[in-house]
Amino acid sequence: MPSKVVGSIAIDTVPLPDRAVRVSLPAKVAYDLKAFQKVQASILDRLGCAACCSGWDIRFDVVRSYAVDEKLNLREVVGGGVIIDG
Amino acid sequence: MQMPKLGVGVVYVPGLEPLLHSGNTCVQVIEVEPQTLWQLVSEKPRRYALPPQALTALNRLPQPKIIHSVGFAVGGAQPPEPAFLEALIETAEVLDAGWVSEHLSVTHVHSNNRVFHTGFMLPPLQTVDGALCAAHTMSILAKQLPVPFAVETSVNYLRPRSGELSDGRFVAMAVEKADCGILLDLHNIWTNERNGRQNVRAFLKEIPLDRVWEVHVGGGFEFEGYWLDAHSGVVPEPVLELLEEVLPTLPNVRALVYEIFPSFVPLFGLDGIEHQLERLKGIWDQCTWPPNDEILEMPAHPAFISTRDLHVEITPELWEATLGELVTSGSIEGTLAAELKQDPAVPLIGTLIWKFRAGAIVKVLGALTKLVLLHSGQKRFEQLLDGYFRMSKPTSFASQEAKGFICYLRAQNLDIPYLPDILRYEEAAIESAIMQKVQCVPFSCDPIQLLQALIDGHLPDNVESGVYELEIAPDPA
Repeated sequence: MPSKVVGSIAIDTVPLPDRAVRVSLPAKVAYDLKAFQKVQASILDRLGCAACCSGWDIRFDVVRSYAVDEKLNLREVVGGGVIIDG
Repeated sequence: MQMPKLGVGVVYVPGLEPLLHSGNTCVQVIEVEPQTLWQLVSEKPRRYALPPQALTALNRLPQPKIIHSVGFAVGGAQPPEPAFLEALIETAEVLDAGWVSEHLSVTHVHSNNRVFHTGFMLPPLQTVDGALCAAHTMSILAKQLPVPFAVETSVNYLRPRSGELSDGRFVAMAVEKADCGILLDLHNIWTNERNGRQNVRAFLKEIPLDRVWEVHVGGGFEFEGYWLDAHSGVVPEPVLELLEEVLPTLPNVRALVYEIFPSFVPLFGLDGIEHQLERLKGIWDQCTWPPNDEILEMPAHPAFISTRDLHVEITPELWEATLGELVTSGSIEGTLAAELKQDPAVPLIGTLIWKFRAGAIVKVLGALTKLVLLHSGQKRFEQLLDGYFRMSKPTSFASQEAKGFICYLRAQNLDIPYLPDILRYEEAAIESAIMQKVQCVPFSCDPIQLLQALIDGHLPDNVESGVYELEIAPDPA
């Protein structure tokens, strides 16, 4: 998981005829932002349907909270309730 | 019908691989939810595909596979769409799956001259008409599959309705009529009892236990007075006790599968999951069954089929349209709508659908989410999501939901620096992943500086302006 883009991508600066600068990076960089590592072990299933579940999708709560407070207690993201221990 | 006894397994979630190596005796079978891995490669005509990198990952796993479909529940009036069927058959064949299961729920409804996805497993109309309708839809799917078909006993958060069939009788009627197997989800029926529906043991007395091929267990948690089937980690002790009691009474059971929702895997941890699997393996190994492991016979039980119906005025189509609209910010009136609006589970389901849609969007649109949160704050981001959800119906694929949100944001003409660049970037990243081709996207500033700032958790500052083109390479297979 990259913590710095420049450390994990191949930067290929090629001046184009229209004077644009071309750089390149793998698609997964966008999905590897720190907060997403808390809710997604892999990016293989990122574009498909939600998994079988009739409950609470925690991804939004974690990402929203983590963006503000990186010390978020992940056990308390759902209305203060304990989510892990049943 | 030849179906081997497989043992204990787990639903496949990318990231579980360290638990799935051949030396781990707790995982004897892998359950694949194919639509989580499929990609929507074409909208017109609609076409789904299992990407090569997903197939490669699955083929590396030594365990036999079974398929648990999550894309088109079969408890309602809508038949599975041809493209879905085609992809499901192909996936079952390529994985050499032992059987396929789907949910006795409703995910697609017809209302206002179009069919839409509900974004959630809704309960079917629990009447004789509803059971026969579900059986018809189940038969359409089962007849086309190259392997046996079972249907899962689902969660129902609604209050029991006067005159409806009991949960057990409804399941029994549907499976007898469709002549298929049962995937008995013990956490689901325990959740239903906890939330005020039928007692678990009464339910089990009403279903044909010889049709149960597979058992599911999982965890959940309480929210606003409801127990949620969240697949969040620990299997509750009462469910494990129930499992110990029920498992020996299922003469044809072939697999016991532990379910966990993907976003809980990093939170619960691989150690936690392994511990759950060890407990299940212990229970499975202590069970003894009659020695008819290979041949599965499912005699019909005519007594399960009744013709008496107290809800003849409500058709499955009306039920599905009404409930579907009510939980997706739709507008619908009538006696049934008035009745359902009194049920506190209806707004609950609406909240859960909101969370699933938002989860799909933040999962796909990482950079965009970070930019809007950092610039406009949580409340504004939620308002934008809410606005989008109110003017659009849910979609089954996260990529579709993300593309819809991008279109919605463009139409809002928001004054957020770098937003046009990030919207183009996100669109191209989705296309790159789906088409497995390089995508080039123009930027009005240095994209590396911009993305690095978002990764570091702050708004971009003094990013160099200029004419840039970002080349997004697909992830390697």
